[in-house]
Amino acid sequence: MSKTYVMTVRLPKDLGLGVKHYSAQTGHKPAKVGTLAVDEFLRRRTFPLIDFRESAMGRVAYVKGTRLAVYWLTDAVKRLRGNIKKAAEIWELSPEKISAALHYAEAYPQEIKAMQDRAEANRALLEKAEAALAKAKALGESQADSRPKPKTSR
Amino acid sequence: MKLLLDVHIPAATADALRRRQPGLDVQHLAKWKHGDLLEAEDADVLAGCAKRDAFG
Repeated sequence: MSKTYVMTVRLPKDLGLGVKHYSAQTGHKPAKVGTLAVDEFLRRRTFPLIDFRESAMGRVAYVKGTRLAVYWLTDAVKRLRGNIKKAAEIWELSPEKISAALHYAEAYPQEIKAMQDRAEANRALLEKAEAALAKAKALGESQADSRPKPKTSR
Repeated sequence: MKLLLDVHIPAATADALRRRQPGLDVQHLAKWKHGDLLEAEDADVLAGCAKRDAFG
C-alpha cells in the first residue's frame, strides 16, 4: 500500500503566491510546504495548547504563549520524575499546558527524541568549545608568566 | 556584566542571585521590559539585549 495520498487543491492566488514565496525562502518544494502546512494545521487542531515556531532545527513545537519548546519541557518534567504540579510551579505554567506538551511528546516520540538528541549534541559541542577556550587562555597566561619581566627603572 | 535569565530558569533564581551577589545586574525575562518579550522569538530577545539602553 502506498505511503502517500495524492490530493490536488486549488488555492486562492494570494495564498498560492505565499506558498511559492515560502518555498523559495526555505528551499522546500511547494508540495512539501503544502504537506507541512496541512500537517501543522491538523496538529494544532489536535493540540490547541501547542504552537509551532521556526528555528535552526526547522519547525519546532512550543507550548503556546511561552518560549518553552515541547522537547525541552518534556525533558525537564522527566528530570522532576514526572511531577507536573512542581513543574507548573517552577515555570509558572498551567498544569494543562504541561500535560499538553507531554501528550504531544507521546504522540510524536521520534520528533521529540530527534530534537533532544540535537540539543544534547549542541550542548556537548559548546562544552568542548568552552574547554578548548579555557585551555588556550590558561596556556596564554602561563606563557606570559614565564616571559622575563622588563626591568623597571627608579 | 548584565544577566538576563530566560524563562527556562525559574524567576526566583534572579532574586537568589541578587542576594548572593549584591550589586549584580540580573533580570528575568518575565519582568524585563514589563514582560513584553515573554513569548518572543529568540531573535527579538537578542535584539532587545543588544540595544544600548536594554537594561535601563
